[in-house]
Amino acid sequence: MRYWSILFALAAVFSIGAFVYAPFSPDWWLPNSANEPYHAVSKFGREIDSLFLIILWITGIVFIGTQIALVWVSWKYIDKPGSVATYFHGSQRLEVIWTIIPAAILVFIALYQMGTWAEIKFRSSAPKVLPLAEVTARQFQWVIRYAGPDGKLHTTDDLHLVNDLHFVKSAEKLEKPALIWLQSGDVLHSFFLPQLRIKQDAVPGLKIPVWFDCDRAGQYELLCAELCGWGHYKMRSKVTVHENQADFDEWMQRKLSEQNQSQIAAVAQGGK
Amino acid sequence: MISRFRWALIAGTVSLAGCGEMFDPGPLEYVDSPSLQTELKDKPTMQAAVRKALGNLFGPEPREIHVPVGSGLPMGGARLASHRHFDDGAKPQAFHVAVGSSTSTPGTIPIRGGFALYREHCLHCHGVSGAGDGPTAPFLYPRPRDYRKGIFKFTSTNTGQKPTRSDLEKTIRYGLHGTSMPAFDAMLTEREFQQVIDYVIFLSLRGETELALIGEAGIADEKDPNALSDEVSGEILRAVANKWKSADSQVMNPPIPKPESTPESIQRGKELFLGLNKTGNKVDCTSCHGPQALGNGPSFISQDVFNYVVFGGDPSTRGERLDAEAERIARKRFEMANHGSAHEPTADELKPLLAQIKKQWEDSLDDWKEPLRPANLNRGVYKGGRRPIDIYWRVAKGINGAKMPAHVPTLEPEKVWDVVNFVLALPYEPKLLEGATLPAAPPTSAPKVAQPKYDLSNTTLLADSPPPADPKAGNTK
Amino acid sequence: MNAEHAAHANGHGHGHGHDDHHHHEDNRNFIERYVFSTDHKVIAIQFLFSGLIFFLIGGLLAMAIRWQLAWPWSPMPILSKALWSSPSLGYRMPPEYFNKLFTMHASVMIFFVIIPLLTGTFGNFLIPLQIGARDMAFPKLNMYSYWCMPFAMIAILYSFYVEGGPAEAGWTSYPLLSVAKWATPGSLNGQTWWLIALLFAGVSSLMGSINYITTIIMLRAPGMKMFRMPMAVWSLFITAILQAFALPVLTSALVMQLLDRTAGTNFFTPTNWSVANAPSIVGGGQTLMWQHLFWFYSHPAVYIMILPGMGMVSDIIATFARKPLFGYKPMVFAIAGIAGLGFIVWGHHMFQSGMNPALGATFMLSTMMIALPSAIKVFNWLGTMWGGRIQYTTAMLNAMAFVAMFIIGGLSGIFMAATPVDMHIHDTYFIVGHIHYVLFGGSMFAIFAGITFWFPKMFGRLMNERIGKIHFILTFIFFNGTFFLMHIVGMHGMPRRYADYTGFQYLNNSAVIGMNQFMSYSAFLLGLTQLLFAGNFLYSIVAGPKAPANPWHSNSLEWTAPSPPPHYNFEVIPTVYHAAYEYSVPGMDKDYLPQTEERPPQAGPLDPVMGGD
Repeated sequence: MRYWSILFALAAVFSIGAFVYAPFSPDWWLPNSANEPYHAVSKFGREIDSLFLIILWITGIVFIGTQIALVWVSWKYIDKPGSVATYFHGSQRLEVIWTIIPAAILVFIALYQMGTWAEIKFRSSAPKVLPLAEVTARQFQWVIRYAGPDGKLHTTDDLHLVNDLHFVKSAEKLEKPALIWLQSGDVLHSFFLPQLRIKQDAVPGLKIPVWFDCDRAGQYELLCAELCGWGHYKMRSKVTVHENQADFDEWMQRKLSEQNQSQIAAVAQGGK
Repeated sequence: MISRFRWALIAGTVSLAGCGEMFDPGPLEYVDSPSLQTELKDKPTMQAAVRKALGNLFGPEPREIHVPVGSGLPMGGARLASHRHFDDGAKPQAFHVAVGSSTSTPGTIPIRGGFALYREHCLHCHGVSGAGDGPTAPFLYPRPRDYRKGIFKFTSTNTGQKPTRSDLEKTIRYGLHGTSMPAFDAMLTEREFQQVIDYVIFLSLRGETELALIGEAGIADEKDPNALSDEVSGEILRAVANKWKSADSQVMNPPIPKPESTPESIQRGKELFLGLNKTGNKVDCTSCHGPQALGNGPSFISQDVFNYVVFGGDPSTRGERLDAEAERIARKRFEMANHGSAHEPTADELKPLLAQIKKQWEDSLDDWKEPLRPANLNRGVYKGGRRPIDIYWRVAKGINGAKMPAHVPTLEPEKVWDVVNFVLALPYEPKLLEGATLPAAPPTSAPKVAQPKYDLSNTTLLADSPPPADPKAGNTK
Repeated sequence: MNAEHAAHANGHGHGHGHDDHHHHEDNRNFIERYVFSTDHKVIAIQFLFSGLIFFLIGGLLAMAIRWQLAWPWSPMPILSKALWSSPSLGYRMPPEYFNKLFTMHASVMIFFVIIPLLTGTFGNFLIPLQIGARDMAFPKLNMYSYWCMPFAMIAILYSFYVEGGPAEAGWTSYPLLSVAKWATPGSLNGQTWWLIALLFAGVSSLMGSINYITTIIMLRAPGMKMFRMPMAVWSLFITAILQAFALPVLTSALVMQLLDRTAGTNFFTPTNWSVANAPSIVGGGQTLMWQHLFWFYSHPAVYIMILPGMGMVSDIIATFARKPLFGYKPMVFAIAGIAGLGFIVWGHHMFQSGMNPALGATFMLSTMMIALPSAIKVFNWLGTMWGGRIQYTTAMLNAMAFVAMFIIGGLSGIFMAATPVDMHIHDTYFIVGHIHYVLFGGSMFAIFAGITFWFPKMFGRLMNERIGKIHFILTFIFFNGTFFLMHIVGMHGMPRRYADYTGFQYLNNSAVIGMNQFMSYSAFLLGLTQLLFAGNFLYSIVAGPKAPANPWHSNSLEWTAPSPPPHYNFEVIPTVYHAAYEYSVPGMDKDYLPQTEERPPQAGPLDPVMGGD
């Protein structure tokens, strides 16, 4: 019954097929903006995607190689009348080869990732900019406290919003990521920007800086990626990337005047 | 493999198209108001009449929605569900809004409808009938709102009035900070907000009409077949609906805009808060919010008792915890009152004390009989919104259903703004209330229980009248 | 136990009626024999039955999860009416219930199915039989180790009936969600029962592992050198060492969390902290400490759940390829390497947790390195089959599926090990796919293979091969259908533990929803397929054909005993001459050479590295 090998081959073909098809559908591939489904919008996103692809290629080749070997042996070396199994216990040379080569590849992958990791997470690489906002994750929403016009947090001109993250698009040359301070108001949460490939847990009792950029203005999504209770899936926030600082400032002014509203008439005046 | 895939996707899409209710579990049920049993205990005919009248007006079960004439719902309630069919002739404006994919429904409107959205987002806390009795509800503090009383806390309208649609929208859109009500700003579209609001108003109309029908049935003769005729019930409904219709005209607009938040204004607000203004104690914030605005004022049940009763164990055993705590305090008080005597209090001796304590607990409950906790104003968390106008409304007209009273016209608008400035400044200036104490002669709203002769701060857990404070203490800053 | 004396008295072990003090009248009553038994075989079968019953429970929970993911909030057939008939709810699953489902699914499957089946069943059954011992070193401790489990089972089942329902903080139970009682309904009471259940399950495992280590070190038959032990014993030995060293950490973490919840300690709560409007807590603890303690156990636990499978599969593949195992000592060293490295990789679960990112960089390196021994094992399995004479029995097919699926699970692990890539796929369905390829594709296929392979030894009857193969084909197909696309939706960013992902624009499209529905259809069929296994298993116990002592012509010692082996296993303790992998030795009539028989001189000297001592 060498046809058993076909079953294993089918599973391999199915697996490979899924990953071969994935790049052709934006809804299968890494999440990007709807307008440009194959452009990763952030610098970190592009780096992470390329690292992802490297691993995908390496693992893909290893996968295909091992599956071919598996299917081949299960096709070739079956129990049929007259066949005799070869009597050998192994080969030290082969063992050494298939220890050293994967080891080298794995060390390469690990070392190759270090730079990007340091750039995204090490506090020493945090951009030297004023913080955009303090983001407090609580059950079940993102409470965002913008620094306001004076650029300082915890002053009376702070803008308080819920589930509404805004920042300015990064310019072509001038890399100026947005910096937020992430904290938790109750339990663990995780700040996940899928289109920007950013993820950082919000830990009770810690304040963690997170920085990210985006080179396309538009709408994105922020979600919670760490189980936080019954409303975990409700923690969606809109993310708006503004074309330029002026847009952002205008939006901030409008929101501030809404926040400072003290009479009904002001609603009509401020606009909604 | 690919074809297997496409098959799956097609199957998926087909099942999705018919989705919503893939599997019909059977009819849903509204929950009766508890007063149907309590108020009409001996009137089974009237109980049935109330149910029937309510079913005629609003539909017999949640998935068959009748929009009664005169409900005042926008678009005649068309946004409540995705299917509708008109009643023939008799009731020109009433129509049924049916839910589900029955083929006989002639009119299908291309929205999900308030019912479906409510089921998806609201039901597990607020319950099928809007009674605040969903499965998640018992584990939340504050408890989710029961709409059926028609009372809503955070409104822009005058005391006791219905909220406007934009008040409800604000609550749904931005959530209520410091409670479990999440913000749905990023979860729903503009149209969907309106659909959900329609449905919430529908449930509230239904619930309030139910209460009114029960009231009507209570005074009616058990034998009277026409006690709750269509005319009577329609009249009752319109009376309820008219309150909603008039909400927009009841909006309170501060006559003057908020003045600049100067140190002087904040100081004036602080003095008002502490009851130190020279014109007499017209406002009394500290007796509930406490001298440091921590929410621990003396006229409320003390925080230890509150925490023990509300958070000390399973929600279902809250009553037992209350009894145990009352018993403990009563014994303590008995010991205090009979200083030195070693005898155990008898049940008769404890009874009046227990009654007093229970009364004090009852006085700390809101209109839904849920325990209340005055806000801690130092945290910068404002349930009803943090805009100056929101806080103005809270101070000026109180919080419906809760213990926060209205302060207009007792206070002039300028003074309300002073209080608002003070409240908004408090989280930024933690030293503002340092060393403040309760005013000299506090007008406590709580009933006077056994006057303590000793300092009970370490022993009693229910707050009694506070010890006389140094009248100068509050004036030092 | 006087093994040497016995062996000396009869070197060939065929002496019926030989005067041996173990060959005595079995005068145990029913209770002693089948309930509170100290016989390792009975205890193994007890673990097997309870494990399979919980496999059913865990599987049903998984079906409910898949229903919700394919058709969010849609009422479930039968279950809706039974579970959520409250009129105030209207048959709709409340979102916290979904959290309960996946929490309990994972907890049940990991702590009540896979660990008890692998270490409890196969550890107990195989170790004494394969090393030629009459029982465990501490038979009573062994009995206690099983009878700890009912307490755990009762606690975890009882948690479904407490107010607030069972735990819903995930199987990882991260504080503060798990510690703060009002954070979510399941944390009110259910979490306490969860902790108690895990404590008992942990104590059970700990007692078992001490027993296994002692037994393997002390009670090997004459000639059974360490490097002559079958791979199954080696892997169970190393697993037991892992458990013995890692479990105390989990146990103390569980006790700490239990104290935080019940006694007012503050190990995991930060200073002056309030959750869900509950009164604030003095605090002073560290939330992240739980994650360190938990993963210090639970990462080794992942290997606890796969290493025995690797060992068993090695034996089964060698048997049915009729060929010596390729690289015996390298296989042993690979397992030891996995175990050793397993202790220094726990941080890879915490790359995004707020732990110092510099630590993340070091953990990335160690995690990459742990892929190496796994790779070596895969190559050696392929090498074992290469040039063999493969007999496609049900056990062999399941073992080969283990290899094929473990390759996928292993390779997808590399993505998570790479810290920057993990930024994106952490806590998405990518990891859900990965863990199921390792734990179902790996461990469960190994368990199916192991049960089919050792069934004749356990029950004296053979399982039906035809139904076994149909079960295998369907399981293999639907398993891939259920779990492979999780990598795709995970890559697309679909977060795990979401009751409803359709509120997010990038997930609310026909592709993601369609894939989820495809996975759910596959999952339901996968679930149904297991009925074939249950039927085959139960029927064969009663009415399967009687099995000979060595139905598979396998070499290891258990096959020299009758099927099923009598109380005390061996009439005479056997003597061992070589490792268990001497198949197709040239110049012999039969293609296998039991360990009790000497190698023929024409086979030449055995390679000490590749063939064992």
